[in-house]
Amino acid sequence: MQEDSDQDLLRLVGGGDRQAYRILVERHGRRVIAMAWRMTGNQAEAEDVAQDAFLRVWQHAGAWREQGAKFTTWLYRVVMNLCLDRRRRKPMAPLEAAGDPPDERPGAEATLAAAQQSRQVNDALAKLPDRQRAALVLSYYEGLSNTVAAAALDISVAALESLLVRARRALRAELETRGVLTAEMERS
Amino acid sequence: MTLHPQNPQSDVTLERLRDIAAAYGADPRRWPEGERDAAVALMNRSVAARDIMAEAGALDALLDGLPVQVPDAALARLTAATAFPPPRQSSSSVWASALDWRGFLAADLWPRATVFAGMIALGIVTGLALEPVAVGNDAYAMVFGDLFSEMDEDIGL
Repeated sequence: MQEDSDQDLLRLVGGGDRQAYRILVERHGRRVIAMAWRMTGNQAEAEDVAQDAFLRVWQHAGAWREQGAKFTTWLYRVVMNLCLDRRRRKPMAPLEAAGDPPDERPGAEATLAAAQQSRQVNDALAKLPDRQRAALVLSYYEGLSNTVAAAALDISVAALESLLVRARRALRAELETRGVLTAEMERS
Repeated sequence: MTLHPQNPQSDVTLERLRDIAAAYGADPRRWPEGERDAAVALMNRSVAARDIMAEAGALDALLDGLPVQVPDAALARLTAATAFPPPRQSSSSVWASALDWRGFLAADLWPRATVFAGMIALGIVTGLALEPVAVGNDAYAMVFGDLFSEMDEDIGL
């Protein structure tokens, strides 16, 4: 059986169809949470953002009209705006550390080193300006095309590329300062 | 730097490849679709292009060390939390709650109203203090200029 498209489901949701709404939530929920998690650095907050975003889908489904943009582009824009709004009110921490206990097994040292490296990268990401981080989350981590990522941020593709270049440049400088990224690594 | 040029597939220069790597990293799957094939072809035939990608790939490797795995339980919580959405609020009820002061506070409109009142006051004071009086776009830029310049700086304009 062919799956209903997002547009078909949205039309049903607009008419108050909870089953269609549930399908939309299940179809896009995981990605929305991941996106918000990377933006806020916090799983619980990401789940709140996801709930809020889907509540808006429910509230506005009846009024939504396809005007060149896909439903997901609009959804991602809602998620990013909610995250940016939260970040304005409360600066975000790096992604939560796992907080694992010390490991005495062979290879534990390498694991610890990798964890420390991840923490440094995490801290560097958390220091990025909001919109640079948003561009990186959508384009790099979520793998959205440049046109979709730009539309989700309501900017041109050229502006998206500019944000990405600045984000990666800032990350490289920060990680070089921390000794995590070395010239040797960049040559290999 | 040549950001997002209009040239499609046919012509990706080394300079453009450097820009692509600087923005999207070393993995061709993330590159702009219209330039991907030409960029890969250039990478395959140019040592300099491969050096550029090695540099970008080092940062990619660090970024890839931060996976986010959304647990099934998180999706289940989201599904449960959205299973019984509240009744939709019509536009007339938004206005009704805005006109009732308790609803006004509950609707979280109070902070916006305060900001709005502040902007009106600022506009009046600024308008009285400066000659000639700014109108139209000039007045708008006067009130919101800082916000725009902050945003432009952020996106590198």
